[in-house]
Amino acid sequence: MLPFFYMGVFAWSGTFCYRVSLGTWFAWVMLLIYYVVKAIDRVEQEETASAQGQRYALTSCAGLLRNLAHAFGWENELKEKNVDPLFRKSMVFCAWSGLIAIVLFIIGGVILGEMLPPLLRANDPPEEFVRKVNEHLLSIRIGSVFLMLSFALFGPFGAGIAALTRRAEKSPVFSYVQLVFTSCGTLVAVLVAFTWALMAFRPDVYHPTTVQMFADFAYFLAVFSVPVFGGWCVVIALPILLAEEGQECFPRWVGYVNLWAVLLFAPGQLVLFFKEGPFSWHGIVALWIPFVAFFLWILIMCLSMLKAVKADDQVTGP
Amino acid sequence: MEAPATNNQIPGELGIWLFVAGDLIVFSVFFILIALGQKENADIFVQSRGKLDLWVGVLNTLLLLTASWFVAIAVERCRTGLGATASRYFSLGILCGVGFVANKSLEWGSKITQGINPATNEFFMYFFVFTGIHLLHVLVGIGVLCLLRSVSRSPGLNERRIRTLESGATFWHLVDLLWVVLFALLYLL
Amino acid sequence: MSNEKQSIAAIAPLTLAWGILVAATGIGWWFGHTAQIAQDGARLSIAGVIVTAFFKVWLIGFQFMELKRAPRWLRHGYDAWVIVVCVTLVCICLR
Repeated sequence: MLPFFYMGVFAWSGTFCYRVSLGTWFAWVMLLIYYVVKAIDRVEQEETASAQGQRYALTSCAGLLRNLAHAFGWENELKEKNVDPLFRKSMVFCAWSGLIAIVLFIIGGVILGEMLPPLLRANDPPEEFVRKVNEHLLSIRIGSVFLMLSFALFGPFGAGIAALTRRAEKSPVFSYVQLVFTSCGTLVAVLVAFTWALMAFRPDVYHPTTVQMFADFAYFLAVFSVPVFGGWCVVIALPILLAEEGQECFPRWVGYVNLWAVLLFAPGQLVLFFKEGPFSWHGIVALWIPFVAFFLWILIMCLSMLKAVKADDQVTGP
Repeated sequence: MEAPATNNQIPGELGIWLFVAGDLIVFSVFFILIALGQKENADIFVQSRGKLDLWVGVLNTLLLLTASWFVAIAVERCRTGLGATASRYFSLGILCGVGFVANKSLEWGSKITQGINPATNEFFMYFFVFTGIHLLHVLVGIGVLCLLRSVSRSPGLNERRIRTLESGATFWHLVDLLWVVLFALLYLL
Repeated sequence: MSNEKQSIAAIAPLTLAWGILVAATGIGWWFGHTAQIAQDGARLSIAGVIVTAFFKVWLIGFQFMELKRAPRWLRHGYDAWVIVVCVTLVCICLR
């Protein structure tokens, strides 16, 4: 815990570079969430343990079946899904691509790209856009490269979730829908990085309103695209919540977290109607809440993917 | 009302409480935004508030409180094995919810015909957006109640179904309590 | 029959809570009325409106959301949220 404490102190005293300190805080919050997720897991285990008493009959039935299966040598069929070391490794890859996407976004969007504490404001005049972009030209350009890398990693991240969902389904439906949403989401996200980079390509040559439009376009792609990212969360939540008991691909609370994320993305659609105040694309409700929720969601999904892999390890042995 | 002996079982599921916690945090941000806006443009807020129909707000509060009461009774009845009569209470809850939506749309309709919309001023921006987000919650909640109604009618209420009922009811009560604060901040202050 | 009795016993506190909530709505209304009549400095009424609202919120949580039966950490977490948000709002409105 000590290094995190120092990190916090550093972030607090780090007035010399506001953005670095902000990025550090972001990372710090993410770490905190990591511990919260672990705590939730523990509570859930206690919950299931206390509910176990009532389900004793059911579990003992399942145990009997398993013994029978063992006796007839069907065990391999029953445990088939657990004896795939490559699956484990690929899941770890997918989970880590999500985690790295977060880190790259912190570097590219928060520290360098000037995207998250928004440098620009929706109600600025076009000339102000050009002036601000020129002022931070190089850091926005480098930031865009990192943004591009970060957003491209959404692909493996989403595919990993779909693969885990697929494993729990007899006939794949939700996992296919998830793949559709994953590709849509990756496309929209990558376009954010394209637009952000183009904005900083030649702001002096473009007409100022074009620079303004690029900024608008980037934020619209990011927060106005509620059905894309929200729909993705819904199709992750549904197979978890609809599954038969014990057949879920993720713990049930992950399903609820996904539904909550949808709710947080939803105010993003307000950016169309307001150019100032908390509902514009630089405001707290329409920008900060969806963005922070989105990266928290990625973090929680990655942690639960890693946990699912670990659960596999315990069944099959390392 | 003395507290009955507590046990270690969470009402409903753990997940729904995470959802509730997340929603409460987000709505706290909304509440604080309203209060800050009130501080900044006190005159506009007081003036605009005068244009709201207090009666509609009070009626809506009572409708939601009553709906919550019905839903709580229904869950209690399911738990004591009287599921057959519980669906009636869920229906009553749904009716109250529909009443809320109807009332709200009449209120919005009359405001818009008077030429008041979210662009009018700061107060009405907050008013329409936050009650709109809440209305979305109510609509989802009515869907949840319909689901609970069909669950309560199914024969054999096992432990898992009871948990589903409790989780859904918890969401509905969340909708209720958020309205209570919104009502106080937007209509009463 | 015993089910019926048990159910009635369990419903009584819910009904009581509903009665209190309706009464509290009236009280909140009255506070709001006095706050709007007094042109400036109706500080007590403003605090009254907010505190009444959060008392209602707490009661909904405690009775309807069944926090009365919940584990301690959940119950106290909810209490803490109610108190923190209520105090914050009162501070902002009265400052």
